[in-house]
Amino acid sequence: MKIAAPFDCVEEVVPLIRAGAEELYCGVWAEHWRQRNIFSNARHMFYSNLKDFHQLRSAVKIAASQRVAVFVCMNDYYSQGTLSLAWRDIQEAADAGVAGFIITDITLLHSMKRLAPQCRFVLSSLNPCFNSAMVALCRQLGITRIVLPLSQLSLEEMEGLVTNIHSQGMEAEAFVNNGTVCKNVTGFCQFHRWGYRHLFPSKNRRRYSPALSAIRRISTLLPEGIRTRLGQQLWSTAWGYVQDLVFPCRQEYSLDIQRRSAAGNIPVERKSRVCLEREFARQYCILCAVDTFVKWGTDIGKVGGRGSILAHKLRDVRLARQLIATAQQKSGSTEEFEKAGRDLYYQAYGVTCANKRCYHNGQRE
Amino acid sequence: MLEHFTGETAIFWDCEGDKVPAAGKRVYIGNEFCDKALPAREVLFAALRTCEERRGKATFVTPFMTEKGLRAAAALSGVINAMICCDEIVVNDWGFLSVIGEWAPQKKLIAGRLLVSRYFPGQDDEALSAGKSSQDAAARYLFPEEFLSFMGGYGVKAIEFNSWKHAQVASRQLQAHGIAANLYIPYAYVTTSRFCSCAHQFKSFPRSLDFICHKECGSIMANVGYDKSAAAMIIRGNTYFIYQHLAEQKRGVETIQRIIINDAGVDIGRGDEDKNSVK
Repeated sequence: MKIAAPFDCVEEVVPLIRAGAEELYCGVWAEHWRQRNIFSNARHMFYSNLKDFHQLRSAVKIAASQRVAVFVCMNDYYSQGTLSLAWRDIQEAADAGVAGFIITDITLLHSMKRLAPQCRFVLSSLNPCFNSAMVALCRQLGITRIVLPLSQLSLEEMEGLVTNIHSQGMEAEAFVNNGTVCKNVTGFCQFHRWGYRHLFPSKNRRRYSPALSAIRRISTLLPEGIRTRLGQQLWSTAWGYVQDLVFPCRQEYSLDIQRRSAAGNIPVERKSRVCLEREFARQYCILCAVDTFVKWGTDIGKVGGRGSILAHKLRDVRLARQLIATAQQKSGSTEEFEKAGRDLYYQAYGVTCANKRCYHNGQRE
Repeated sequence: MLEHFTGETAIFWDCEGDKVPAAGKRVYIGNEFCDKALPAREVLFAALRTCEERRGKATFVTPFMTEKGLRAAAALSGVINAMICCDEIVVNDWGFLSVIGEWAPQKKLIAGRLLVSRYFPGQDDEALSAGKSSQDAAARYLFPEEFLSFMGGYGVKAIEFNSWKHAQVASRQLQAHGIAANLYIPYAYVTTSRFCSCAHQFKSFPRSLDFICHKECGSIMANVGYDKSAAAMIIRGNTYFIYQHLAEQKRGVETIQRIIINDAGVDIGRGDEDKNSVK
């Protein structure tokens, strides 16, 4: 099982490879997108994308010297107005020597393959694959790997999909890092797509958006590594809290639960000041399922975290590498893996996983 | 808005409730967001028979599906094929879209909101304020030609919109391609989950996909109020919906072929008559 890790700037490539990453993925937010203030992929942060294809070429060259493949995220939905920009990106990335693309919009595959016939195409978890018919469709369209949706499948369902994916001659990729996991289907969520921004007026957004836009514009003047580290630090510290305030799904709300009856709705319970973010997202850990993923023959373990600081990504990659190695010791039982896993978790994070919610608890064999 | 609309209207019908639709109406039966909420074979058959008796038309709405849901939908295709009044199927799953043409070849296929709403551009305010031409900004609401060709290749004849804004611009494009545009009002979906809020009594945790569904969504729902926003959201089943205020909309309705009145269950078993008051 290989590990795929994200990188946000060229400086991160070597450390991630040394930590154990055998594949890398990234986004590129080039000038022709920045001019229009539109992002080229689903990660809408200036510091979680390379600035241009010159940097991508450098990263690919460094990775190739270590026999590590680089994939580029083209995982947004492109409209008629942005399609030409997407095509330009695919051609430039293919010329830069990337191994493939992580895509969401399967209706564009035919054209994408024409532009980059030598590249592989991976289905992003943002277009969630839940059944065998979708797997078959993906194979028919030319997708070679499917990333299983994060958090929306039971272990039993995942196993069925992995078996089906392999039977179709494709690779299966599963997330293998611990982090915040939203309970909603990310690929269907409209909160983060901002499509309904006009329906969620927020004085927090009005207060902080100008500053965030200014930071984004100033960042383009900074050298790449500094720009990336600045953004990552801002996100992970105070500004991370501020940014939470401007997302509609992270505001406070009240909840009036009602029972429906023929005579009308009857109030049942009222909860006030409930934070939607805490309702949706919690620190869930999926690491104890790594041995199960290995048993299934899952091809790639995906470490998420585009935009996270490098230290966190390195820690996640090393921990994933250690867990996979532990799982691959054929003599180990599930209980021994869990014990070893908890020890490795403590070494990596400095805390026990007792306070975490075990995502696959109760589903293991 | 409805007073300016001259196209077809349809209503969502809770066929397990006590009400029946008025004669001659088109009803939507099924669920867009939950494969557990697909009706049982007998229930669907009874509902379609009622529809047929009342000289109405039915559209069968299907959700995104796990393997289990796919099998359930396959089991229902026999009923759908047998009932002429059910002439359309709304598809919200790419995998299902690729197979339903073989399972129900005589039915008109409609691309549902889950397949389409992600084309609604984000950051539209920023793009417009960036000083680009209105044509440039409007193009961001339009579907790529590849998408329309792909849909046409699978026999999709209509596309359903979640957002009024999206429908207003993109429906003109669809008209030129001979594809109908349908719009859901007044509730747009915002987010959905396989962890059902209703089944978990609106408690956040623990989360489990192993819960037994008792179709609680038929009897409870929640209103979500924002202190900092006038947006009216509701939770029904596993999905958050938001109310779109469309009363003032007069322009742009002419290119929309159908409006589906989706009250998201705010009114129970929406229909026009009680089952017991058969005339």
